[in-house]
Amino acid sequence: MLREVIYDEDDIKTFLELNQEVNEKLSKNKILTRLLDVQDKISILVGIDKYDLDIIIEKLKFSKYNHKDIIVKEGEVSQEIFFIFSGECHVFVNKKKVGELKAGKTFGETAAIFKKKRNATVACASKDVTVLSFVINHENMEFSAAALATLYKNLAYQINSKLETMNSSSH
Amino acid sequence: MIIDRMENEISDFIDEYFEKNFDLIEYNFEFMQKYSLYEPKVNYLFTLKFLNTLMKYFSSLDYKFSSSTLKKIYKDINSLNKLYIKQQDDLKNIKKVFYTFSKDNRVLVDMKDYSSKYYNNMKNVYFIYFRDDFIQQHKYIIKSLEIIMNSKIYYFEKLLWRDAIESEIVYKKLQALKLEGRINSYSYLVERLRVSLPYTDDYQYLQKCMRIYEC
Repeated sequence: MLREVIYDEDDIKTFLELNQEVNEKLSKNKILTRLLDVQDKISILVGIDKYDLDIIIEKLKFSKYNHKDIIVKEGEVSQEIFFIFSGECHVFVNKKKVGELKAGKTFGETAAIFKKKRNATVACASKDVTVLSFVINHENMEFSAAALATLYKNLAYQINSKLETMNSSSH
Repeated sequence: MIIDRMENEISDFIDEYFEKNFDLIEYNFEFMQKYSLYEPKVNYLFTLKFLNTLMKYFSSLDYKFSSSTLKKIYKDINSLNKLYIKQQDDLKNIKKVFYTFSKDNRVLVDMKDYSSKYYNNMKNVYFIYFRDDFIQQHKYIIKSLEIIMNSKIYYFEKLLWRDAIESEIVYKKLQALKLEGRINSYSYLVERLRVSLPYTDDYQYLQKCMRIYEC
């Protein structure tokens, strides 16, 4: 046989590791394509380059929930940011309903940015709720500083707008 | 009857002629299947020259660069590539290969002693069968080598950049280039093209490579 190279166990392990990376990348690409279709509707992702989006965002996934399912629980620690793709959610603090979130709204950004516990519980208020969730990847910050800056600017705007809504409703 | 015999003889000869290649292809396909190696739809074979240059460049920067797996896959791909180039030339040698077959073929040798006219006619008929079978097997070998190499080059590229990032010297050199986005073939090619002279063959080749990694 013309075979000159024999791969040993360590090589196979490397191939399998790369395989996992490849599969993750392929599945991420699929979701990313879906995300790009709606990028302009997600206020916190507006203005971020398609290529940079791939770098600064990880653990991207679409999830479906049923009525009364809890998406995030008050007091929990997690870095995920959520965008409601379809359906409606209710927000509870100390088991008391404090707000409603409709399709197109983002939540979870405060805990993600400040790395704090969730300050509210978000539960599904309609039959089918589709949510897009992701985590901000800071690992490649040196290569994506501009994109992260845009993302944080968008997030700050989003938090400010929520605070303004809360203030106006309390008056 | 004679046609059947002729077909079998040709088929046996061609099978034996390509035996080592068939074994190699079978081994590689089994390997790919066993470890579910990815089969890209994009033609990474085209980027081999670029990746080989990059491998040499990184190795020249850091003598400790390249893990054992990277060295192996580099050697494996380039040995497959040699075979691939050789196979492409093999089609030009079809008459030469047929000569090797015909000079030892019992039927043709006997016929030659009987009548030279009949021998020449029969030889032509044999050649047509031989050529068709040879081309068919040759196509299979070329296509299979392309699939195998394309998959291995895909992993070679991933491993090359993984090792580049792990090497302190290479990584520093890449950081100094201030590549935009992740350190990978695409961002490297964007930078290379930015500082290269346009309209040269090298530029055009790198530009085509960049389009492949853009996908």
